[in-house]
Amino acid sequence: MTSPIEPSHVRTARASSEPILELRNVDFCYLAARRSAAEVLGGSRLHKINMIVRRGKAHGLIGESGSGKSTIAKLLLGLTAPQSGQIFFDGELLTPDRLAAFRLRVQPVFQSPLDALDPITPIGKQIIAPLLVNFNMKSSDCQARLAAAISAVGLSGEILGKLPHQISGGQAQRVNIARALILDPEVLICDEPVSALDMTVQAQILNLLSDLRESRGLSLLFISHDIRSVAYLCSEITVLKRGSIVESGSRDEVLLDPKTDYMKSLLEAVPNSGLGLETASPSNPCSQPAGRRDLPAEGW
Amino acid sequence: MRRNTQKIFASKIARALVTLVLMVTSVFVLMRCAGDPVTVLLGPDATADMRAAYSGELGLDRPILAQYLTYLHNIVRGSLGVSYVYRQDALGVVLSHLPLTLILTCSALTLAALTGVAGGITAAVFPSSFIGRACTIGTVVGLCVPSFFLAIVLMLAFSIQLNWLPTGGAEGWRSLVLPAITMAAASSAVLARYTRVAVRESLDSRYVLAAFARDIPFWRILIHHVLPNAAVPILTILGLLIGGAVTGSTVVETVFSWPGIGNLFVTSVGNRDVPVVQAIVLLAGTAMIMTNLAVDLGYTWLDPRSKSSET
Ligand SMILES: Nc1ncnc2c1ncn2[C@@H]1O[C@H](COP(=O)(O)OP(=O)(O)OP(=O)(O)O)[C@@H](O)[C@H]1O
Ligand SMILES: [Mg+2]
Repeated sequence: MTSPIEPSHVRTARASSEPILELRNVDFCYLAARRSAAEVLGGSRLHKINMIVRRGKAHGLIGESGSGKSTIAKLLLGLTAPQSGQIFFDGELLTPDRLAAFRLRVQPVFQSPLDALDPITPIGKQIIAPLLVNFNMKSSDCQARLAAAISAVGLSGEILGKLPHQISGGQAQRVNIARALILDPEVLICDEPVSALDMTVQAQILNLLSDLRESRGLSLLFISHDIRSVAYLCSEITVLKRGSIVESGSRDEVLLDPKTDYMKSLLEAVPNSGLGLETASPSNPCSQPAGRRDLPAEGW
Repeated sequence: MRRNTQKIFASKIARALVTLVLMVTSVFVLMRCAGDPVTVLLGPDATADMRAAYSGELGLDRPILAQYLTYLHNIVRGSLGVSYVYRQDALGVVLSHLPLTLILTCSALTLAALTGVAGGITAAVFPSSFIGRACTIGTVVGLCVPSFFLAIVLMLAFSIQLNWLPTGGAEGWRSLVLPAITMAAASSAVLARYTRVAVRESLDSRYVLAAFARDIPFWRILIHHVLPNAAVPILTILGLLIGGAVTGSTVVETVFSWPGIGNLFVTSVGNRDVPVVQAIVLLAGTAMIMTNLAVDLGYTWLDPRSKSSET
């Protein structure tokens, strides 16, 4: 198994914007739905998905509920396998024997942060479990990495002995991010990471993700219902409708010049021009110094 | 944290004691409501002299409060009166039947716990495999078949047709097999069903998905996350089953003529042997309260959330 302790500067030195995760012609259908009417209607299947997440970039994935966003996340996390098509990671085809190493380099951050934590295991123990189990790491090394991961997400050490019900939703989401970061992954798959949190906490978590992307060269797949947070965080956007990609391109192409009625209707649902496009430079939406960034005021 | 745990334990024990006193009191009240014991004992034809003499002997002519206090005092001393049939201390009669009931219920519950939990986990972890389906079907059958019917089927098959095991009595382990299986079947099915639901729920949770994404091996996820989270509902059901086992053994003991407390209860009710019935009710109630207490303490031990009051 590869070591997770590859210094991050090695990675950032590699040309950014080369593809790190790629879906090619991926078809997928849930076992339960295969024989049912849903398949006939094309309701719960993914059809010919082509998508590229680039190194060091944040890629947004939007679409209405049930369009298959979480399913794509599961595929990209190696939690389920496509029926046809390929998944490439870092230029290499993902095969079952590469799955274990792959999983550690692509980590999830889920929607409801408290559900993603085991309610009866202390937080510190949950965060370091993979280090102990998969890498047989010494306890002192684990503690050092734990401290680093915890401070990277802006939490203090006293939270480690607590149980999930003793912390807030925002703290829990930071814990989830720390749990992913401790493996030093290259990609974070964030499936609606902020939709269960309240407004101000949402902004903090979005800023944290954006800072991590910059400082560690992390690539993000950011799945959301909320076009405003996608517009804020992501430089590329893919739009999913009923299991098919209907639109894909740079942030400005998709948001300012939507090609499909579906995307137009999604945009119309957002209160007028609340996308904040004019506040950030289009080519590099997150270029302002950390901490000084403002989210689009409208609706937040 | 430590102090807190002790406080919770103390309050749970106090609550169990209060329940015990309430139960003892209601047994007293019910026995008095059931009619004049003297009439019940001597029959309607008894003369007034006989009745008065008997009343005096039993202390029934004293004020009700005094009777109640004597009753409590006797219970604390462990004396529940003399059996009308056996002419011995009622509690002694009941306790002499206790070992056989304990042997039966303990073997049945152990069997039920092992098969029920194992079957439930199997059905949850491998829902579409042959063995998983077999567990699910076994559960449904176990839930549907009443124990007296199962007892008769087992007797017909293993005692009468095959002649492997006796139909009743309590001679050696061979006579234990059929009653234990009969008694275990229903409990095992109930336990398997709740175990399957609890394990399935935990397996489908986000924290298990997240553990898979971190490539933690499946057996480790099962042992460290799934089973501990499923343990609380499983323990609850197990506690209910243990608490109900003493009374639940009545049917099985009767069908297999197993000379335990359940059997004694049925004969004593028939004989109107009030002290023995009263002793059995108190014993069964105490067993129920004690298992509830043990389950409560078990929660605190199993679920770290209950130790910290800051929720
Ligand atoms: N485990 C499953 N088994 C069978 N069908 C499923 C399963 N999970 C999801 N589906 C179906 O697949 C389709 C896509 O679901 P998915 O969870 O990917 O949607 P989503 O875009 O993430 O929606 P949301 O925005 O509500 O989270 C839905 O029709 C859903 O009913
Ligand atoms: Mg989803």
